[in-house]
Amino acid sequence: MYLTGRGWWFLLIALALLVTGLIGSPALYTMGMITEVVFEALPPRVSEVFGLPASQFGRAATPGRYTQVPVLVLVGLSLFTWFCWEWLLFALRSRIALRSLAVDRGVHDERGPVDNLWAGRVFRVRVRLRLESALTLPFVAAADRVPFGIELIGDGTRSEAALGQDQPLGLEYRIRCPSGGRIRFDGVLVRLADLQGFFYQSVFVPSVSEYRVLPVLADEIGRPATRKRHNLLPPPGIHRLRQPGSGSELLDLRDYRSGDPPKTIAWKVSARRGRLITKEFESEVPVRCTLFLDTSNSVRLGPPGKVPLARLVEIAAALTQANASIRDLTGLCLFDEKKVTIIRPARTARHVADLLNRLADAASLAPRYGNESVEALLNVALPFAEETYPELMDSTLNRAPFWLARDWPVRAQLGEPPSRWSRVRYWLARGLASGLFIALAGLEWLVVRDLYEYATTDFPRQMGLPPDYVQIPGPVIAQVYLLGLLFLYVPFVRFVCDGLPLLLSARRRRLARWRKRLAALLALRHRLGPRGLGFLLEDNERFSLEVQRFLAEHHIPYQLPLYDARGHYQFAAPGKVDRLARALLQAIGKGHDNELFLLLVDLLEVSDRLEPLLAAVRVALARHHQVVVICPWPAGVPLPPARAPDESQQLATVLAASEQAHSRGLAEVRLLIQGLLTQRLHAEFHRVRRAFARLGVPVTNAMSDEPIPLILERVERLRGLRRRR
Amino acid sequence: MSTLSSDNAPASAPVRTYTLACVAALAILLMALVSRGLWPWALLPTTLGLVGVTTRWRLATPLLLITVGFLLLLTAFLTVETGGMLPRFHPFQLSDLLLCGALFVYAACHYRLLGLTVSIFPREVRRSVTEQARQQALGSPPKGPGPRLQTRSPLTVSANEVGLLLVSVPLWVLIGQGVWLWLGRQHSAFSVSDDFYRLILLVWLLGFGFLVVLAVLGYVRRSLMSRDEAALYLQDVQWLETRAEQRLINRWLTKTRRRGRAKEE
Repeated sequence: MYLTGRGWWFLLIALALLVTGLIGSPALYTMGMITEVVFEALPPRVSEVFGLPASQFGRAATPGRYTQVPVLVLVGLSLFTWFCWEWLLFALRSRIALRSLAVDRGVHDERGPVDNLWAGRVFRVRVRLRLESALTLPFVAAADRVPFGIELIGDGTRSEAALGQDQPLGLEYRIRCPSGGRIRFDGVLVRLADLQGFFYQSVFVPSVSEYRVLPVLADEIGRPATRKRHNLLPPPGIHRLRQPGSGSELLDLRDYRSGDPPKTIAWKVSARRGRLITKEFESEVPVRCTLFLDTSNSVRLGPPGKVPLARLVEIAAALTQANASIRDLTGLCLFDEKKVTIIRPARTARHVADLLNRLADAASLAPRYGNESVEALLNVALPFAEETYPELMDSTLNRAPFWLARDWPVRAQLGEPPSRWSRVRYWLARGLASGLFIALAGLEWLVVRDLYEYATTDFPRQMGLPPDYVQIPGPVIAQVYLLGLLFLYVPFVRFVCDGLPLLLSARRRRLARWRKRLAALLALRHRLGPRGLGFLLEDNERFSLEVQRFLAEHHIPYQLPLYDARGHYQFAAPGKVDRLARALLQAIGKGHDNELFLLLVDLLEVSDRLEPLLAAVRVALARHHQVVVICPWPAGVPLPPARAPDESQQLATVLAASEQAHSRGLAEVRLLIQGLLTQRLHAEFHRVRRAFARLGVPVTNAMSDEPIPLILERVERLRGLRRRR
Repeated sequence: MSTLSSDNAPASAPVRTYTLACVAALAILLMALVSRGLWPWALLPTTLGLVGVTTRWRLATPLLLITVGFLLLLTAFLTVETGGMLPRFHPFQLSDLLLCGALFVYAACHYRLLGLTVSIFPREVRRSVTEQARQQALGSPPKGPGPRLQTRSPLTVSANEVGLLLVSVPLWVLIGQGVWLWLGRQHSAFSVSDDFYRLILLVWLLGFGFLVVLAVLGYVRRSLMSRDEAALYLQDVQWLETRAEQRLINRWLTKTRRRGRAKEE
C-alpha cells in the first residue's frame, strides 16, 4: 500500500493549514516580513491597493502580537481527520480484505469445462474473483494474467467493480492455443484504490492452473478429426506382411524343408511337380512404430510458439493418432543429451492419451543454459517476480541490506572463461593498484624515516635527554614496516580493484539488491534448504539455472546467447547422438519382426558425429526394420533445396542477396551472415541426408511446407515397400 | 493541467452529480468568503475551483486549499496590521462551518471526479513482463513505458455513494470543531505559551496515534502472514545471521566444483 501523489499533496496541505492556523503568530510574522520586503520594492501606488501604506508593514511585523487563526485550524483538522479515516479504512481493507480474495477459474469449450486443451481450438476462460471477508472493497480493478504463447480472441481479461461478500467479480474471455505444450494461469492482478485516489495497492491473487495443450487431433491421413468415421475399429493385423508367418492368407510356395509341419504341404502342387512343396502364409503381425523424439536444447530454441520441438511434437502426435486409428502399436522414446525415457509400444486408448500428455509436456520444455548472463536474466525475472509475488518481494520482508553490494559479484564465479581483454584489464588494474600502493608506501616511508630521525635525534635534544635515549635499531623499523606492507598489500589491491568500482557503480549495487531478493524467492520456491539463499548469491551458474527454471515454470520466454565467449555454438548437444544410438539399439533388441523407427531428431549441428547412430541404424536395417529420419528446421531460415547446390552457386546467391540488400539500404553484413548461416545449414542438411541415403534411409524436413499427411504418406509407402519385399 | 478529451468523457450521471456537488460547494465557499469581507479576492479560489472542475485539473484542489488558506491568513494579518483585533473564536459559528464543509465537499468530489474521468490509479511506469514479451513476439516491441491511466467506470458508482459523502460532511466538520474545542481548553503546564503547548500536544497525539495504528496494523499483518511469507522471513533472518560463514563455504564449494569441471574438460 502506498500513498499516491494526489494523497501526498492533500496530506501536506491539510497539515500545512492545521499548523499555520495553530502557530498563527510566527506564520503571520513571517508573512509580515515577506510582505514588507515585497511592498518596499513595489511603487507606493501598488501597496495602496490594499488600503494600507507600505510604511506600516515594517512597524507591524513584530513577533508576539498575533494569535491563532481558528478557522484555518478547523479546516485543517476536518480535512486531516477525514484523511486519517480514509487511510485507516484503506489499510484495513488492504491488510485484511485483500487477503481474503479467492479466484475460481474454469476453461470451457462448447460442451462444458475441460481439463486439457487442444491446439488450434477456441476455449472460453471464466474467472470469478470472490471476497471472503465482511469488509467490502469499493473499487477494484482486476486483470487476469493471460499465459504467454496463447492467442487472445477479443478482450475481457480486465474488469472493475465494487467487491463484496455477495458481489463477486467475473471475467470471461476466449483463447486459442496455436501449438501444443502447457499453459499456466498464474492468477489475477488486483488493483485497489480508495474513491479519491489517495491510496493505491496492487496485489496478485495467485490461482495457479496448469493445462496441457494437446496437439491437433488428426486422422490417419493427417486431417483434423471432425466426425467419427467407423463404427468398428479394424481388427489387429490389418497390415499383413508379405513375410512368412502364421496368418491365413497364402504368401508363397517353396520347397519342403525338413521340419516343416505336414499340414503346410501343398499336396496337389507337390504331385504336379514331383517333389514336396510347402505353403507359406502371410504374417499378421501389426506394424509397431517407435517414435524417437529429440527434446534436447537444440530443438527448444526459437521464437515462442515456433520452436522446432513444437513441430516435432505435432508430427509425433499426428502419427500416434494415425497409428491408433488403424490399431497399430506406437511407442515413444524421449531423449536429450542427458537422459532417455522409453515408453513401450502399445495400442490402447489409455496408452495413446499417455503419449499425447507426454508429448504436450515435452513441447513445453524451455532451453536451459548455465552460462547465461545473470544481468540479462534479472532484467526479465525480477519485474515478473515483483508482479506475481508482490508479498514475497516486499522490501520489508525480503530485505536487501545496503552492505550487500560489497560481497557481490564474485569474480571467481563468472560463468564464462575470461576473454583476453578481460585478463589484460584484470592484470592492468592489479598493476595500477600495485603501483599506487608502492607510491603510497614510498611516501609513508619518507614520513616514517623523518619520524625515526626526529625520535632518535631532535626529540632527545629538545627534551634534554641523552642522545642515545631512544634506542630503536633502524633495520627493525624497516622490517616491521615491510611486514606491515605485506599484510596490507592484498586488502589494498582488492579494495582498489573490486571495492571502489562497486562503491561508485549504482548499477552493480542495484543488481546486487535485485539478485538477493530474487535469490530469496527462488530458494524458497525451489526448496533449496537453509543454505540455498547463500549458495545462489555465490554461484552464478546455479543462480542462472534456477532463474531459467523459474521463468520456464511460468512460461516466460527469455533470450539465450547461442554462442559462448569462444564462438562455440552452445546448443549442439552432441551427447544426444550416443543416447539416441543406445536407445535405438535397445529398441531393436526388444523389437519384434515388424518395426518402424521414426527418428525425430535435430542432426544439423552434429552431422560430423553421426557414426554411432549410423551404426545403430545399420543394425536396425539388418534386422529388417525400417527407419525414417525427420529433421527439424529452424524458424525463419529458408528451406533447403531438393538437391544440394554447389558451393560456387551458393556463394553467388549470397553475394546477389547482399547486393540487393545494399541497394535497398539494409544492413549488408547482417544479411551476409544470414546468408552464410543458411548456406551452412543447407550444407549440413544435405550432408545428413547423404549419410543416411547410403543406408537407404529417407531424411525429410519437418519444418517444410509439407504437411503431416505427406509424412504419413511416406510411412505408408514404407509399408508398401515392405509388402513388395 | 490535464484536459478531458471528448472520447473519454462519459456523460454519465455520477460525473454530473459530482460536478454539481463541486459547483455547489464553490458557491457556498464564495458566500462564506464574502461574508468575511473578502469580496474581490473570494473570486480567485472560486475561479480556480471552477477551472478545475471544467478542465479536470489535478492541481485544482491543492491550489484552492492553498489560496483559501492564504486569504484567511491575509485577513487576519490585515486586521492586526490596521490596529484591529482578531475576532474572538466562537465555536459552531455557521460561517466557519460552511467554509469548512464547502472545502471538504469540493476536495472529495473533485478527487472522485478525477477518478471517474482522468485516472483513479497512479501512472504505471513498468509494463507487464508478459505483455512486453507478447508484444515482442508479435513484432512490435514497446518503445518505452507507455502511459497506462485507468479511470473508474461510472457503473461502479453505487447509488448511495454521493449521498453518504454529503451526509458525512457534518460529521467531519463537527469532529474538527470538537478537537479544536478540546485543544482550546488545554493550557500550558510548562514555561511555553499556550499556543505552542497546543501545537506540541497535537503533534504528540498525532504521532502517538500514528505509531499505535501502525503497530496494530503491523500485528494484523504478521498474524495474517502466509506460510511462504513466514518461511521467507525466517530464511532471511537465518541468512543475515550466518552470511559470513555461508559466503566462505559457498565460495569454496563453487570454486571446487568449477575446478573439478575444468579438470574433466
